Amino acid sequence: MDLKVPRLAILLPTYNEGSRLYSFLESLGNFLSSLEAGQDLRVFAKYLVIVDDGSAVPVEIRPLTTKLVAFRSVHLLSHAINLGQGAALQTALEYAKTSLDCDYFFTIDADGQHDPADMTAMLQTMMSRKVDIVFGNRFNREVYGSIPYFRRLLLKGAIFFELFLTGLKLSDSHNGYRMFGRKCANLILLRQTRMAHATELKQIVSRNKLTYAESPVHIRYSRELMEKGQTNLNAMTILKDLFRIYIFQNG
Amino acid sequence: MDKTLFAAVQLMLVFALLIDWIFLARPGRRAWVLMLIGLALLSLWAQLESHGKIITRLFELEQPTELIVFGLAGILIREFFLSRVRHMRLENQVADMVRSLAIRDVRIVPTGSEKDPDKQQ
Repeated sequence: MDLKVPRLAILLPTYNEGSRLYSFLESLGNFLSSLEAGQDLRVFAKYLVIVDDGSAVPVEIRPLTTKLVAFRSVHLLSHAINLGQGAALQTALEYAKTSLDCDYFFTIDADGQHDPADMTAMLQTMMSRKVDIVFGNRFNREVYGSIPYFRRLLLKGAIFFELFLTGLKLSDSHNGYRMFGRKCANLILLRQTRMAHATELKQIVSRNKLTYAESPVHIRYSRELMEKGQTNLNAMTILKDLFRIYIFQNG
Repeated sequence: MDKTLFAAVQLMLVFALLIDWIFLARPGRRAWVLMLIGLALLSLWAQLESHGKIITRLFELEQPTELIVFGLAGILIREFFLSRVRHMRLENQVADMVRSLAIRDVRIVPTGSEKDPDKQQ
């Protein structure tokens, strides 16, 4: 085990993403391979931890190995049944901490709505501001207009609710794009197995007085993604889960 | 017993029941602080004559039927919340089992980049 190279894990929970996952893995691999000497992200020993959360067609990554050469190794864990994104993320995190002994962690959605290129800015934010966690923020000028109107309203409502619950002043809510260090990772124990884990994570940050910052990220809202599960009805389910957190976990 | 005092005690019991839900869901300092503040405020409120009358009127449960309905409603609401708590705990137990199995059976795919990134540059 080398001691001088910091280890970075990309945690990727996935459920029935099919070809979207493979396209995303390809773009992730291409981006990391294209990093030039001197770029911060290049110096890390990178590991990819995929958690297949009980997909109907199991994830198979062997055909993609030539695209993922930027990683030291790819680790595929499979849940026997579908548990939810929060549970899958917890599995990936536990594995990356205990088996890979990673120092830094990225969480990204596997459906391809996140742009891997934003990792560079997130890493820079973490290093320059010396914070424990960096949250992705989609509400920047460039992409604000591309977010569907009703979704924008729902997200703003969730931001307000989260501010009330956690006291964290953030500009975005339920954005799965994040980066955190070991200190934060050691404190994370997600008990919300489904989408509300995003709020639970913020509660952990707030409760432990961890330092945080935001970094602009790009989110792709395609018709396919909206049909798949990014529907406004889905967003309402998140609000319901948030209410559940308020009732049961605010003691 | 003085009616105002009786009403105040009833309110305190209702409040304690509410706290019980929160307490069973997840014990925490906030629940205890809320309970103490709530009890103090209720006692203070019950001391004031005008409010005391309102409390007495609202919670004067002299009829046995009212008492039964009130009690049953309380039990039903409490059971609803407790069932949600039990469900969440069960969900987490299942998740822990599935997780430990997944971590034990990992497929590691070497990507051929096991070299030290420092040397690659």
